Order: sequence, then structure tokens, then C-alpha cells
Amino acid sequence: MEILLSFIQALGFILCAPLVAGMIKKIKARLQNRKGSSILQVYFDLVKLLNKDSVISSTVSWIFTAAPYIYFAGALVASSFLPIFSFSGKGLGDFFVLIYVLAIGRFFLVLASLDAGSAFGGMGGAREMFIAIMVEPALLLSMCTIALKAQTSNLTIMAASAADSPFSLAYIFSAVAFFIVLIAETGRIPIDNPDTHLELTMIHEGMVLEYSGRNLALILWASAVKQMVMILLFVVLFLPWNLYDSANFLWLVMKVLIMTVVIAIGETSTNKMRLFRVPNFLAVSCLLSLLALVAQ
Amino acid sequence: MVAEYLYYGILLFFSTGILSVIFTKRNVKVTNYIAHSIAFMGCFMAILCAFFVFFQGELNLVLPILLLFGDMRVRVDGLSAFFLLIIGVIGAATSIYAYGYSREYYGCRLPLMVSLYNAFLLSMALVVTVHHVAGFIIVWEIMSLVSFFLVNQEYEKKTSTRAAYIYILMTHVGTVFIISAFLLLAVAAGSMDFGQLKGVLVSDFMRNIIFLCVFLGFGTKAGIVPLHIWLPRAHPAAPSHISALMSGVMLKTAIYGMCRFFLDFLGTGPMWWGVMILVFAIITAALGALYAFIEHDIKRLLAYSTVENMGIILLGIGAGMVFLSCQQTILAGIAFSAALYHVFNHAVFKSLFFMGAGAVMQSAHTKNMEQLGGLIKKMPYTAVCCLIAAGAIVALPTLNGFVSEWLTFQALLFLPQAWSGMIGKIGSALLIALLGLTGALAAACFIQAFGITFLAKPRSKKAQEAVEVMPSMVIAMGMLAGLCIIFGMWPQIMLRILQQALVGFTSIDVTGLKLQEWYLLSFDQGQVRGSISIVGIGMLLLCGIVVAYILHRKFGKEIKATGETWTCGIVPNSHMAYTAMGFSKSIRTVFKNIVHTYDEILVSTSDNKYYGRELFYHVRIQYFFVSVVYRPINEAIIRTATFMKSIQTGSVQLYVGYIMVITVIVLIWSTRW
Amino acid sequence: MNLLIIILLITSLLLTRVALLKTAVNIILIQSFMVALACGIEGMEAGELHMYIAAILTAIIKVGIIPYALLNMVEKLQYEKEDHPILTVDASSIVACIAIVLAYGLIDQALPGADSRDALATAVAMTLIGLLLIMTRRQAIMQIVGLITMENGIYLVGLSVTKGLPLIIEMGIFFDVLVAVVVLVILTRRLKLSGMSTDISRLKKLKG
Repeated sequence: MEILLSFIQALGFILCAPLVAGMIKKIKARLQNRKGSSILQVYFDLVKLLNKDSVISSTVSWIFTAAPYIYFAGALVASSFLPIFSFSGKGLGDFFVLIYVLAIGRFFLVLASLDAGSAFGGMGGAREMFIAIMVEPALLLSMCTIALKAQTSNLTIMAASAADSPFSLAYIFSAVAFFIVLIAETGRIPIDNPDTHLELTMIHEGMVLEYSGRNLALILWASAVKQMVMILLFVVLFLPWNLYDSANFLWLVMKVLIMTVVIAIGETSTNKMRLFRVPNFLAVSCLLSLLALVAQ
Repeated sequence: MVAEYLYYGILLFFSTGILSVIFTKRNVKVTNYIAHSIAFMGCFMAILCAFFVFFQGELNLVLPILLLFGDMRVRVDGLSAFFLLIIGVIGAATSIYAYGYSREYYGCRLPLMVSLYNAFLLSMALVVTVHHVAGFIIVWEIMSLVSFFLVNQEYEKKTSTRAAYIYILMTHVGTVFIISAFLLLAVAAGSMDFGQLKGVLVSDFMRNIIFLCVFLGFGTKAGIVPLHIWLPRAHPAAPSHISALMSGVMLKTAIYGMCRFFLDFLGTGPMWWGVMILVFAIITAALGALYAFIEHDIKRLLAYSTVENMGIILLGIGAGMVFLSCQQTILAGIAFSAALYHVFNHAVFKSLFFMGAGAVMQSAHTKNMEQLGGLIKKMPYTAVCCLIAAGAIVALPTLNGFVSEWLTFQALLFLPQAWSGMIGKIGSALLIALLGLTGALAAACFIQAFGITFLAKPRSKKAQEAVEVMPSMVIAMGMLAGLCIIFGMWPQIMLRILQQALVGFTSIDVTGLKLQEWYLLSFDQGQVRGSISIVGIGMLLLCGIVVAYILHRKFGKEIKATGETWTCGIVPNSHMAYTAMGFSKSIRTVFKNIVHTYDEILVSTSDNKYYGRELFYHVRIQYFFVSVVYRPINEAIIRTATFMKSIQTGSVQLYVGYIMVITVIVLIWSTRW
Repeated sequence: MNLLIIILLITSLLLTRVALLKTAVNIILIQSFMVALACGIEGMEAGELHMYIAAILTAIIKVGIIPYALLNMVEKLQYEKEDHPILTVDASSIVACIAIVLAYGLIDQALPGADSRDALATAVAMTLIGLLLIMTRRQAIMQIVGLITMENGIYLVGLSVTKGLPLIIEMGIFFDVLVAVVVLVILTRRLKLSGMSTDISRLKKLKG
């Protein structure tokens, strides 16, 4: 039963995720004094891609075909774990599992990037793994600030514990630390630029360069879901007040809106950073997490 | 009673296996089949024996071997049976695999190898079951020696010989510590029997000394950094099924020894024991993963990954020791379960990958990843098995490596329960973060290992001509791959067995882990709670794939066009694909303080200078611990030896002079002048 | 008894001064005879049978067989003599004197007021002088002479401390010395054959 509810929640995520992505794009455009495309543009893009033909390289194997499905499935499982409603499943909502479920998708996508045998794919894959290696400790550390306090890795209990705790310095530290991780994990400026696949900047986009048509649609969709999962994780753990209350569903939407605005502002006000500066950027996150632990 | 016969069966089969080569000397083919079949039967007996012990209680018998130090007592309790089970499972798979793989060695001392193979299995089975100090040390030594000969199987190669000698040297250094630990305890207990060693009253100081000896001695075998240097040399040198056994099983005997000491003999120790193990374990795990990532010889990569996994296992044991020191029995139970479950999982998936690497080697005749590629089309079954192994190693959910890693994470998360205060919290968080780093490095490493070896286009002629290996090898790999999935989906099976194995130790409480529900693994004991449902995750994943499929198919039949990979208009060739060296370049740059690498570009110009040049890119890795620890020791030994050489002039008179000086000194000293 | 001991000491000191091999062997003959005599006298005082046996054995082996073999050997090595010892003759005599002093000092320290003080001290001194001979002489025959001196010293220690060792041990020692000397004699012969000299400092070349 719980699994079913989790699944329904995940379906909701899948439906809403392009909207969140579209909102960020829209706000960014407004901040850059452009009119920007419609909020629903991402949906249109996906439908367009789903209707297109695919070109598949003759070098690739079944891994290339399977990777988009698995990436999508990984994002779906991750989205079913979040304790948005009170039923986050027994044995499912665990943040270690969440991280590793996201890793499944990444694992196969990077393999697929190597599959076509082009230098672009390999470069994207190598960089994606490079950033993943750097993000992993930072992500775990920032989560630990809450998990150690709650003495569990269950997301529901963690969220409840976060909701109980007073607003403090430690809290801000860990929130900022997690925000840095969020940017890195979702592949946004200053780590990666989601809007382009120029050689110098490409990470995620370079990795999926060989995909076209429906496969690409699945990957883009799953990326949008993953981005929404990270945003909601932030909302649940670091802006958690008034959780669970169905009347406050509006509040939740408001918080997500705030997050999109913050991300958009962040993205417009900085530029992309050199690849080898990323470790320093994430080290800041680790340091803040440790400070938060000390201040707790 | 049945278990007893089964145990004798194990010994009998393996001994017959050792001797069988004498009778089948004339035909190596027959030797191959008969001796490996006998080994398989022995392993099967080991599995059965382990299960009988789990269900009917422990087995006690005295081997009728006249030993100088009294009877050789054998006792198979839960812990021994668990390790016997690992030997059985992995040994059975490698025996089947060896039918096909041994073809490589038809002209290369196969009878000797097969005989040693049986001896190796026998010695390992004895190591985990003998309950007698002298007996243990003897079989431990036999195990080391037999594996030394197996590493040295291809002694025509200079690298093999060198690897074997480094291995035997390191393992003997370890044995010194193990013997000291045992003797210190045995002297205090006044008995050589394991049963008598339990709870011996020794002073705290002596206990600490014994602990350090155990840690160093078994740590050398387990390959903890910085005692790991023999591992990445010895594993690639041995034949692949032997590497699988060494990495999967032999290293685990060290874990067995540690568990025996920590849970049985030494009793509860101070907290720094656990903390020390944790520190070494996390260094081992992180550095092992890092070194594995920058390696491009596939078997060396696997060897370093073994180092990493031993680190993860030791993290579990270290956490367990910390909990033990604070009488947190349930948490200690979780930590030790995590460690031992990882022992089993690692044995399965690492043996599987080693077998896959062996299959690739047999087929493509190289273990350098840079020359491989595109094998997924030539060897589809091997590729699938390796993919499963890779997934299990990087702990993807629904594969077996994940559950044990999750349990380890849980154990680390609850560290502050025993280790209170700020330091405990920060320590716990740092350990978790570094374990995460290790996991991510391992993921990158195995994406590289699988991706470069099996995907893209063949990078050399050898890889182009590769074909799928013999059915027996595929079957063996398939068996282990199946185990990876089964024990990943239903960890309850193995954890139930583990509860049986650990229930005999009073210092830990394994009943904390609730395994009653078929889909759920949970523990809930006041402050300590957590749960995981792998089956649930598996179902959700499946649902996700179905949703993706529906989305994919909803818009009518897909029109696919096939074309070449896009490489900006040039005809793609295998040199354009990413290499292992390139894949790990950014990590090498970031961690350049830990792994010193020197990139060298070798230019070879042809006679005609207008024709162009050939460039080779070469990376030399300088290992931190080799340059910091081993090289100074080496130099000091050579310096001492040179100094000693000047004493050895070869003049008889001088030697007599030494004797005289000593005599006079002794005379004077004895009269206390 | 005291006279015997004095003769023993003098022979030992003389050994440090000789250069001719034949003389050295003759001196060792006298020395061994004195030891055998000492054994016999001790046996007479104690009235024990096995002491006589030991004395007779000593006489046969050390006064008979060994000197005979050595003299035989020396006959063959006509042109060999101890030309350039590592320590000059005078210096080794002085060291031998020091050894005697040391021996007396040691015995006084270890066993104050022992009956056989002189005998013990002589025995220790002989042992040390034997070692000294082996150390400072180049000729193989002189090494053997040193070995026998040492052995005589050790035998004397046994004699004066315990009033006679058990027979079986004494037999063992005799056999030991006999074998050692036989081996050494054979070795010396081989040395002569292959190296044209019995100067053992040439053995250094064998070192790897």
C-alpha cells in the first residue's frame, strides 16, 4: 500500500517536474530583461522530442538503449522517497538509499556516454563522474548535520526533527552547504550550464550528445525530475516548517517558488567556473557542514 | 553426526584432489577435469557442512593427526561455518570456471597448478575450522606458501617472481605478528586450545600488545594501507581463478582471524581499539578506491578495489569494536553483521569480476584496458556478468553490495551513541562522507573498467578477434551473478544465516536486526531505528522502467535511423574514444598531492621527418606509501647490509679474533668484574 | 703438579715465539704429554679408574696420533714457515702475558680461594693463547697448533674444576679434536696442492 502511494507521489513529481524547470527558465529570462519562453515550454519540448525519429550510432550496444529507461526509473524511485506527504514509505525513505538510487541512473548514463565511442561523450562522462566524486562527500556531510541530530537516516523522521529544531546558526550553515550541493548535483551554473553543449562547458549535455528523439526526451525529463527532487529535499529538510499539513500544501508550492527564484538569481549573477575550481567550491560546502556540526 | 562425515568428506576430497594428478599424469586434459571435479565436490561438501552446522549446532571433533603439541582439535561453530560457506560457494564457482580457464595452462605445469589449487582450498578450509593455536599457525603458513607458489605459477615472467617474493615477504612479516599474538595469549592461558583462550586474564598492557599484533598481523593479510603493497602485485600475477579465490576468500581468512580475536578471545577492549581500526579502515577504503581508479591494468584495478572493500569491511568491524567498548550490543551486532555480510558479498562479486577479467584475458590476450574495447558485442554473456559484478561493487541498489554498504553506513551513523561528544559526531560525519567519497570513486572506477573494456570500438587487433569463452566459464560466472542479484534483493537470507553464525557470541546481540518480513529489513530499538526494503525499491524501479516504456511507446512506433557516431564530420575510429587514462585524468589532477603521477609524452619520429611523428602518452604513478614507508626501509636494510659486509672480510683470523673478543668479554662479564 | 703447570705455561708462551713449524709441533707434543701427565696425577690422587683411562687416551691421541700426523705433514711442507705473522713475535708474547694476567684476575674474581687456582688460571690462559695463535698466525699448521693448545686448556679446566669429567664426555671431546685435526690436516694438504702454499690468508680470495 505504501509503495503504491509512493508511486503515486512519484507520478505527481513526473508531471510537475517540467513545470519547475520551466519556471526557473522563465524567471531567469525575466532577470536578464528578456521576455522568455512560456512556462510550459519544457512540456512542448518534450512532446516535440517524443514525436521525433531517433538516430542511433552503429557502434552502440544495448546499454545505450537501456540507459534512458534506467535513468528515468532511478529518478522516479528517488522522487517516491521524499516525505512530502505523511506516508513516505516504510523502508523506502532513507537518504542513503536516495543517493544510491540516483547513482544507478548516473552509472548507466555515463556507461552509455562511453558506448558510442566518441570523444565528446567520454569527456562528458568523465567530467560527470569527476563532479559526482566531489559532490558525494559534500552531500553526505550536509545531510549528516540533520541525520546525526535525528539519529536516523529515515527522511521522514529527519524532516520531523528538522521541523522541531529552532532556527539557529547551525541551521543556516547546513542550509547553505546543501544549497551548494544542490547546484552541483542539478548541473547548474556555476558548475555546469544546462542550456548549452559547447565543448568547453559541457558536462551533462556532452554526456547525452549522442541521444536524439525519444531517448533524449526521457533523459531530459528525468533530469528535470531529479532537479525537482533536490529542490524538494532542500525544502523538506531546510525550510521544513508547517510540514504535513494538507492545508499548507499552498505553502509548499510557495517554498518551491522561492527556491526557483533563488536558483535563478544565483544563476544569473554568476558565471561558470573552471572545472578544477569545483573541488574548492564544494570544499566550502564541506566546511560549512562541519561548522554546522560543531555549532549544533 | 552428518556434519562430521561431511567435514571428513571435505578433507578427503581435497586431499584426493592433490594426489589425483599423480595418477592422471599422462593426459593433462584428464587431469584438468578430474582434479577440478574433485575440488568442486569438496566445495559442495563445504557448503553442505556449513548448512548442517547452522541448523544442527556446532561440530566438534579431533583430527587423528599426531601433532607435536597435542591433538589437533577442530570445531566448526557458526563463525567458522560462515567462512566455510564462503569457501564452498566461491570454490565451487572457480572449480567450474577452471575447466575452461585451465586450457591456457595445458603446456604450462597444469598438474602442479591443479594440485596446488586443491591444496589451497584445503588449507583455507582448515584455517577457518582448526581450533588449536599450533594447528592454526601451521595451516595458516601452508595457506601462505601454497598461494605463494600459485602466484609464482608463471615463473618465467620476471614480474610474477618479483610479485611472489614481495608477497611471501609481506605475509611472513604478518605471520610474525600473528604468532606473537597467539603465543602471548596461549602462554597466559597455559593451553593451545582455542576454547581455553577465551577470557584469559592478562594485564591491560599485554592486551593492547596482543591487539596491535592481531591488527598488524591479520591486517597485512587483509591488505590494509600501508601494508597492502603485495596485493596489487600478487593478484595480477596469479591465474585468474586463483586471483578470484585469493581476493574473494583468502583475504577473508584475515577477517576471520580478527573476528575470532575480537569477539572471542580478547573480550571488550578500550574504545581506541575501534577508533584505530576505523581510522585505518577509512584510509584503506579511500586510497584503495583512488588507486583503483587511476589504474589501467584490469587485474591490478581489481586488486586495488579489493583493498578498498577490505577497508569497508574493517569499517564495520571498527564500528562494532567501538560499540562493544560501550556495551551497545545491538549496534555492535548491526556493525558486525554489516562487516560479515560485506565479506560474503565481496567474495561473490569480486570473484565474479576476476573471472570476467580472466575470460577477457583468455579471449583477447591482454589485461591492459587501453587495448580492449567493444567486447560487449563479441562476448555478450561475459559482459552481462561483469556489468552485474560492477554494479554490485559500486553498491547499486538491488544488487548485493548495496545492502552491506547501507548497513555499514547505518553503523557509522550511530557511532555518536557510543562515542559521545563533538568528536564522535564529527568523526561519524567524516567517516560517512569519506565512505561516500570511496563509493563515488569506486563507481567511477568501475564505469571506467567496464566502459573502456567492453564498450565503444575495439582498440586493438587482439580485441577485435576476441570471441566468447567456453560455456563452463560462462556458467560459473552466471552462478555468481545470480547470487549477486538474489542476495541483493533478499538480504534476509544471508543475514539470517549470519545471525546463526554470530548468535554464539555473547558480547554482541544480533537479534536487533528484524528479518521476519520478506520484503523488509529493519531495526528499531529505542533510539536506534532504520529500515530498508530492497524489494520495494526493486519494484519501484521496475515501475519506473514501465512508465518510461509507456512514455516511449505512446507516440506510435519509433522510427530509428542508424548512422555513425557524430565526430564533427570525420569518420570515427577507435582512437577517438575516451581512454582509461583520460577518464581518470581530472581525478589525478585533483588528488595530485596523494598520488604523484608523472605524465610523459614519448615521441618517436620516423626517418622521414616530413612523414610525421608518433606520440605515446604514458603515465607513471608514484605510490605514496612506497616512497614514504617502504623505500626508506629498503634503503636502511641495504645500508646496514653494506656496513655488515665490511665486517665480513673473509679472513679466518679476523673471525677468530671476533670469537676471542667475545670470549674475553663474556668471561669478564660473567665474573662481574 | 705445580711443576707441570709451570711447564705448560712455558710451552704456551714458547708457542708464541716459534717460527719453525716442526718446533711448534714438538712443543705441542710436550704440552699434550704434560696434560696427560696431569690427568694421570689427578687420577692417582683421586684413585679413580676412569681418570687413568682418560690419561691414556690423551697420551695416545694427543701425544701419539696428532703430532705424528702433523709431523708427517710438516715433512712435506719443507719450505713453509711462519715468516710474517700478523702480530710480531714480541707483540704476541706480550699479549700472551697479558692473557695470563687476565686469567689470574678472572679466576680470583670468579672463584676466590680455590684450591687449584694456578691450574685454572693456566687453563684459561692457554685457551686464550690458543685463540691468539689462531688469530695471528698465517700458517695452517700453526692454526692447528693453536686449536690444540686451546683444547688442552679447556681440558685442563675440566680437570681442575671437576676432578675429572665423566668418561663419556671426555671421549666425546677426544673424538671431536681428532676429527677436527684430521679434517684440518686434509684441508691443509689440499691447500698446499692447489694453492702452492699453506698460508691461509690466501683463502680471502675465496670470498664472494
